[in-house]
Amino acid sequence: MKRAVVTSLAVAAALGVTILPSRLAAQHRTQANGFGYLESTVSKTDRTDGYFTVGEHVLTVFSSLSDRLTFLGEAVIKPSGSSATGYLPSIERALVRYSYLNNHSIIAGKVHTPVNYWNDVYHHGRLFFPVVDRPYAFTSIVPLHTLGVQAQGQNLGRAKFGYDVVVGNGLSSTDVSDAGVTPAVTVAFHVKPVVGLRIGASYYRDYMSRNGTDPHSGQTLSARHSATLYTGPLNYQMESASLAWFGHRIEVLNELSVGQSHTDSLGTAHNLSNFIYLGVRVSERVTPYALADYIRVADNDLHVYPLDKRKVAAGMRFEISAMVSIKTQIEHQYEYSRYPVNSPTASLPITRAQTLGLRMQLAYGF
Amino acid sequence: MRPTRQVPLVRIAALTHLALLLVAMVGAMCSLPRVVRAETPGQVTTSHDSVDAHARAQKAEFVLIGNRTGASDVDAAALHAIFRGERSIWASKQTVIIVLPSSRADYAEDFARVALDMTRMAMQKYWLALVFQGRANPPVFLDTADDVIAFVKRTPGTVAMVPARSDVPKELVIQVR
Repeated sequence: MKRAVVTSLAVAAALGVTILPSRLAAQHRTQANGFGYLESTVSKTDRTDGYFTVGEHVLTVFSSLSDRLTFLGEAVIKPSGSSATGYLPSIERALVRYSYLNNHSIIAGKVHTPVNYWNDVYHHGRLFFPVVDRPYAFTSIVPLHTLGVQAQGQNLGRAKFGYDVVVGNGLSSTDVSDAGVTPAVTVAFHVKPVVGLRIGASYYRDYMSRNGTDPHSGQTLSARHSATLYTGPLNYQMESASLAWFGHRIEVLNELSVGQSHTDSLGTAHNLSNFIYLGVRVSERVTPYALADYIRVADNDLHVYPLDKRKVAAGMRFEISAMVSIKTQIEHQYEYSRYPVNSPTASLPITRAQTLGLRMQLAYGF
Repeated sequence: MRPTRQVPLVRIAALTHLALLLVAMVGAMCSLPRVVRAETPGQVTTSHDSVDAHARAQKAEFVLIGNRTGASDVDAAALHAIFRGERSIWASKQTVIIVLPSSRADYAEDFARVALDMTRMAMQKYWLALVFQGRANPPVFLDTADDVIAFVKRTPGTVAMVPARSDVPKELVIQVR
């Protein structure tokens, strides 16, 4: 019993959770929130499957370390095929922020790379997603995380201008090391001229002396080629533009990403991705929506590897409360993945699949 | 050959989706958003289209209060910006600490409309998302106006709005232009 109590306290301390009376807690300002989701899916390819899924579960901890210094941590337990239990824990964010001037901060740690609206605003919070799932780009060409240093400004001037400059470990890094001395660089800006509207653009660049991928880069499609992945030098760039309008009635989100990966052997591969979402809030709680998602990774890409995916979907989001939402979505996906031209794996089989799916998601926060 | 036991599972899932859609449609018909209308110096009020508009408007008179913010008055735009978490440090160099009514506070719905042009539910979700993004410090949620006033009184950098009927110390009041 004593051991269990000690273990529980150690876990709570490790997660930064301070258990205090409410009044003291308010002054010390440590707050923990959890997010998770459950899903049911019926999908039809060459066969029909119906199943339930326990999705990612997230614990976020915020704490004021001093008047100007704050900590934000995010730990996730997520499905993983490489785990005996089917799930693996990971630290998705761990950052210390110093606010040195009104709305200007310096951040050190592991952050969501602020390349576009989705990665900056939603990430693991399915409760906040307007639809059931992330855009395709988030498992392929978007660098999800960066471990390094970030300068951030927001809500500056009448247009509510914001900027983010991040320097840190690149796509082939892990959370403890990176090959080479050239850091990945992200430069992003956005404006919010009226309430509900955010327009932004970004540029990301990473030179990998040894091409590779780590799950924390988010480029999990590359990981499936890990056995035969190209390991020479690779120059990776991505330009993104986002438009988000979440008004009282109409919701629009468009995420455009254009990427280039360059190798001396196959030259420059030009990749493209666009996700568009349209929702109409018919009441405070109910939002029917539609989306279209597209990604094309060129035949000479040696980082993500060639891919074409398209998805169209229609659905309904029902917000039971601020902490619980249900989404139901009918979707059609087409995928065509293959191997780079002239690569050692070019003779391996290609994958073509069409999927008709019906998905229902219960997302919650606490 | 397709296993026969898969068929009921598919049907159950499809029926569940259908049921959810019906629930969602019923929900759509049950709630309609309201609109923020009027603001007057020193106090901020709402007006509503519902039949109890007068009673709600009376309840919805608020006073802006703060402690060592360095601001003796703010305009309406600044007030909205503050409660949207768009300011992090006061002119007095104090860190901004926003105090909001919890869902148990009887004036939470009116406060959300006046301060943020949102419903209470939308306000809670807005702040949950903002903190999750890491772009703002979490607000302090308290249950009653008396708790809010007491907290603001003892905590430098705090800002809040409480119903005008509350017993507010004059030194805490910030005028709204």
